[in-house]
Amino acid sequence: MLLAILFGDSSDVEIIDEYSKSEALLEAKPFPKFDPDKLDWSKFSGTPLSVGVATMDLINEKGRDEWLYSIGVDRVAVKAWKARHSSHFERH
Amino acid sequence: MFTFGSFFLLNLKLKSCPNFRRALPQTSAPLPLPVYRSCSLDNLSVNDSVALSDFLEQGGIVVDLRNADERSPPPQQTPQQTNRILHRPLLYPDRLWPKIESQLTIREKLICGFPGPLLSPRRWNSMLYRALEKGGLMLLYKTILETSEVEIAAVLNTIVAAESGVRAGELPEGQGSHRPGFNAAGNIVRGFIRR
Repeated sequence: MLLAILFGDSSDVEIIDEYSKSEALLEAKPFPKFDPDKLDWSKFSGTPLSVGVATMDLINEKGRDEWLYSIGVDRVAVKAWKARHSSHFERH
Repeated sequence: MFTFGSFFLLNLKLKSCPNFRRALPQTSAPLPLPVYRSCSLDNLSVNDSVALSDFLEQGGIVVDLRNADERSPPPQQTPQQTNRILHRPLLYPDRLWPKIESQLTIREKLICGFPGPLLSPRRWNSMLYRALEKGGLMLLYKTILETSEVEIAAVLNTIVAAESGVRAGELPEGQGSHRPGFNAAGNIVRGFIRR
């Protein structure tokens, strides 16, 4: 999701749609036996659409590109990358 | 220039890994960027393990975003090029749990006999586990976005640099420069996050 935002070639709808594909692709696993002394990672499997939407909202709230660059993503490298693929961006 | 190598990097398929796929949305004209995602590469079939090894030979890398707690038991099939498997966990217990603790209500803290960590560490930890489970994936993502900004940026920079074919010596510290043989033309992003 962050990559798609960074490369700036996709709409929110496309990003969220792609993000939520795992939900259908992952096979349902049996519930593990409850252990009060452990975190149940199965609670975090799958990729509900609602989480994709909420995560995108959270990132948009921070200001997509602005947030990514503020945390240390290399703006110059991303710009150079986009320049190398400029023909792709010009076509679309 | 189009080469067999670039074709290979853009068309990697691992059938034994159900949600292995390109990481970026596949629109009518997908970006020519060989970045894939997966929940795990621990239990690949023999054929897929060979395909992944070939991918790594062509310059690909694996970026594993899981911490030790999230990893499966020892893998059955492991690519040999372990110097191309970068471990870049995004979740750190010393940052995660204080964040979860700060979101507990006074009532929840009292139930555990606040200050719980001192009186009953086991009960306190269990309370934190249940609180995170209750918040689910959204709470986990939110916490990671808020507590692992430096690590997120480092992973994204690693991917951009890898796609650029930057050689090891040219990578800034913390972006894979300590990994010998790092000259990647393609990447596998291993599960952002655990999918």
